[in-house]
Amino acid sequence: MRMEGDKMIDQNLLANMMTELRRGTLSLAVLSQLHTPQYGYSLLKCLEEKGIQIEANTLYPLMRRLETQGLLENSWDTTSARPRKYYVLSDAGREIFEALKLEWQSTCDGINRLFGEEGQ
Amino acid sequence: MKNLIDRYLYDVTKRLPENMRDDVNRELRSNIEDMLSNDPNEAEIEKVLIDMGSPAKLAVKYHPKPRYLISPELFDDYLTVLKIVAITLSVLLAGLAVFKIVFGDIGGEYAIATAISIIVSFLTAAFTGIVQAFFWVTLAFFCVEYFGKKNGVITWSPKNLPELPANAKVVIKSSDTIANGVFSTFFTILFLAGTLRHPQFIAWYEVGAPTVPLFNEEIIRQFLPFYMFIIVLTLFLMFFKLVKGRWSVGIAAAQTIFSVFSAVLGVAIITRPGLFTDAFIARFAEKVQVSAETMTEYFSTGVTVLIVLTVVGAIGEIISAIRKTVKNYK
Repeated sequence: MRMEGDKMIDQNLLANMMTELRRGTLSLAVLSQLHTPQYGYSLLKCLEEKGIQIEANTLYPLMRRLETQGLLENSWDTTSARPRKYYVLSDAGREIFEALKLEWQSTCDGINRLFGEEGQ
Repeated sequence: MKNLIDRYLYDVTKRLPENMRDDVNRELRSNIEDMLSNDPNEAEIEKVLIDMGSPAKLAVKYHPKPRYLISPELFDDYLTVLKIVAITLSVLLAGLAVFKIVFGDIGGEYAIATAISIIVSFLTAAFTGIVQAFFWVTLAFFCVEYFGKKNGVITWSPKNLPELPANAKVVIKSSDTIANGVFSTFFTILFLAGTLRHPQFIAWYEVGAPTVPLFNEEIIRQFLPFYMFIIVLTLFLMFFKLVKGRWSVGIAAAQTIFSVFSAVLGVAIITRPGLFTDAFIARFAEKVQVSAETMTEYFSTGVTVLIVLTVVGAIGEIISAIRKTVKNYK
């Protein structure tokens, strides 16, 4: 428990809720960066640089899952010294991404309106 | 050093379905190696692996199927059914086990040894009952889970809503039901063991004189099938009451049949001539210094009182059941 003036914030609870908040946006974030092929680690670095917090043990299984769902296509690059599995958006992935992007924007507008009403 | 990564990958992939193991192995290996420098030392590898987290947790994220036996939505029902079946089954098996002892003349002349063996088999059978219940109920729910989800059988509709919980007067308390069922079964069996086994424990004990049994074994033996039937009825009634939890026409009817049957059985046994052994009557008469005939008369009076009590008791049970049922429907 951390004291902040009169308020005590339960850090554990806050951390959990923040993870929950981020979880909803992960698929969207991942899809947005796969217009060009990337492999696990490159995508991880890319997202980190852009300020998206995501853990390796969440990202890697997520990429597999999106591929199972038909949104990504994979290919193994065996040319370089280290073989790597590259993922890129499939046609279905591209369509779904556009739809999700619209949904995200409308959700954002909705939330912002709520904030506006509260005078925040 | 490489070994750490190999072992980590093995621990993750061994938990996954065979068809995805190789691919996950290759992919995860290249991901982990990308997170390390060119010639990592053990400490560095360990740090990266710790960041990746426990293999078990990671495998859960990779696994295509959900990792539980009974889904959260079915879990409460599972617990309820488990409780009812476990109790009923263990009482049933315990009763049967003790019957076996009553029938077979195992063990010697010592009353204590016999009593201990009865208690031990009662407990063992009760435990077996619980274990069996666990197995079958879990298996049944797993099947519902697996096959039901496949065929989309588990759909909810307002028609399937349960009845409102009844007010306190109309609810059948499960603790009462269980206690009732267990005790009456146990005591009936104890009675039968006490009268049918050799040596009989329900008897007159006196130092320096042979033990004189109270009940005539022949007669009790004749009634044995009826007693067994009553025990089965007791268990059925207990099961019904536990499942339904409240009074209804069906339960009231079952209770009525049961009360009538046990009252009739009770009266039939008590009024059987020769139920009490002559030897017992004679010994008792001797001790109290009355003649055997007088004692027999006392016994008859006692029997009459018991008959009245039995019938009144049964009528009371029936009336109470009917009243509670009527209240339920108000």
